[in-house]
Amino acid sequence: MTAHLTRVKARMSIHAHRKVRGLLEGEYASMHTGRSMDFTDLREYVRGDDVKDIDWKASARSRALLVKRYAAARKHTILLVASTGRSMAAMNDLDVPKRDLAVMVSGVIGYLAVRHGDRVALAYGDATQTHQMPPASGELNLERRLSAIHDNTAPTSPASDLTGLLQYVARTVRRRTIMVVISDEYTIDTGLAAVLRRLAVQHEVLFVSIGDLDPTSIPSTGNVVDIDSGNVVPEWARYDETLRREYAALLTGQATSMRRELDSLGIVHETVHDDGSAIRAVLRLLERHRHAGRR
Amino acid sequence: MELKWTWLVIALAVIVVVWLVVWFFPTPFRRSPRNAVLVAHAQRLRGIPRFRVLARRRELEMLARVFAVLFLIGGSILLAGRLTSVKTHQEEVRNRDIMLCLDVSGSMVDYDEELAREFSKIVEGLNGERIGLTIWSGVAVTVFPLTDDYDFVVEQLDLAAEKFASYDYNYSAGTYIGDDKGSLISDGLVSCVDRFDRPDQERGRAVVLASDNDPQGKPVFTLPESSDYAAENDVVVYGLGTREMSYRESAVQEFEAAAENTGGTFQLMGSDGSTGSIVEGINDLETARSKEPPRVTVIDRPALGAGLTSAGVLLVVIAGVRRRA
Repeated sequence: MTAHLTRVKARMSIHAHRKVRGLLEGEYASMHTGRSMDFTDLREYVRGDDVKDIDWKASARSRALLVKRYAAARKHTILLVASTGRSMAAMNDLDVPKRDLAVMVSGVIGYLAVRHGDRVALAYGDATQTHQMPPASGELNLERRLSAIHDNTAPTSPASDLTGLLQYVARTVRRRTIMVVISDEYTIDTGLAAVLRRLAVQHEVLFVSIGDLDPTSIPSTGNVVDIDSGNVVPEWARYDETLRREYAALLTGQATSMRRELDSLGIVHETVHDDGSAIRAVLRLLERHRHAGRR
Repeated sequence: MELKWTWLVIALAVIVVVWLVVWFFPTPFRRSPRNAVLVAHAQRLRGIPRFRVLARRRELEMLARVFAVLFLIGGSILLAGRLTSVKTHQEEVRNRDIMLCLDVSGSMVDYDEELAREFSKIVEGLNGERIGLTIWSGVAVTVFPLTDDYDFVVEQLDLAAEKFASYDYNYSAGTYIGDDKGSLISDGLVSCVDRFDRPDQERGRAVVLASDNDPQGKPVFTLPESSDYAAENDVVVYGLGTREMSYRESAVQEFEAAAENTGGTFQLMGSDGSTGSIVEGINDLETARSKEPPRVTVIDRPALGAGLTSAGVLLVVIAGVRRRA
């Protein structure tokens, strides 16, 4: 039952124990100012503020009425937005499907959130269907969400459609969330850029791309099939050095332009290239998010 | 051209066609390969110029291979089916025997020369017929028997014409044995009929009998008797009379009756291109057919199949060399 989350926890403790602990203790920066034990700053009293909040000593020093502000201890909502089209069922490397990486990334972020007491929601879908699972706390609920990602991503699924999924999220999610987009997009076209711009206004958007298996570097024999078109990647295309170089150059170019695009949208972005570096990449993403300029 | 084992060709062709259908129509016979490594966004590869170069190269190579396989298959099927051609050998056996039977009595010599020259020309156009020359007056003498040695025949006919022209009686010596008999047409005809050899074979036999039908002395056979004898032996008599005969009505009628009795014709020489009509008559003479059935020879024609197969092998080798390169 709790297979996915167990694996995530195991991996986290092996790979990045200290870093994870640090993150768990430091938690993430709160977006809200509200009531809690954590004092943040003072501001001038305006009508309607609770009299209990007036910091009398500070007021006496500054000759103006000041009230204390607290970082809200409100529970956050982490919204995992996972593309579950068939392209996510393809391989990341010869052993690990991209789906497993998506589950791993979602699991790491979700586990951190659950341990933090936050709630985790999930939106997933492909070209023909989109679904949502409401925010819920607890490891069991997180496990259910991970299972949903895992089970709905199959080679027989419809094609991926991240733009459609994000438009669905923009239409249906009203609350402000920390939104983690997990997909395998390699370019940001105008439609996707538009919906990302729209979502970045409402949410804290973190963007995780899952890398693809490079068909020119598959050493073994056997067939390689493009999952979207069903075309076999011809064998002769897999051993040509020139082609491999040109393909690598193409991928680098696309990754660079994607990063530039997302930077211009103010979206924190990380690419998960392989299974080994997945957790590190997620932690790097969260780190970057913490230090990113707050709006 | 036909196939000896048509059923084998049909069976193989059906197998090949079924295979091609299965090969070219992916559904429902062929599914995407099992145990394939699934890769997303691999279509990006196709946009790379290098990919197109490789694809073009591959396409040519595959084209060569496809043709190689087609050639090999086609050639093999043809070879398996044993392409043969049937040849029917029915050699047209033109086995006619023509005996020139010339009266060499003094009154006929001019005509004999003309006739000999004419036949000398005719012989050149013959093939398969045998010609013989018998001269007679009181007694018949064989100048040369039936033969298809045309060089010899022409030589002899020319010689005869020359001798006739020079009134060389040495040439016709033996035809007159001093018993005052001469120009005995009936005896001459019987002698000529007797000169046909191979009586057991079915051959067209003709006698060209030139005479003025003016017998001197008493013959052994009467003309109707000799005519019956000719008919009995399936010999057709073509009679040639002289112009002078027209004054002797009974002689002409007798001669004509004798000729027609055997299925031949009678004409007066020089009246209307005499020898021409004789030749026509001889041509019309039914060629006796040999009784053996036409020989049917079946000849294997492996050239096409072998050629196709060789071309296929050559293409395979070329494609292999290209791949190495």
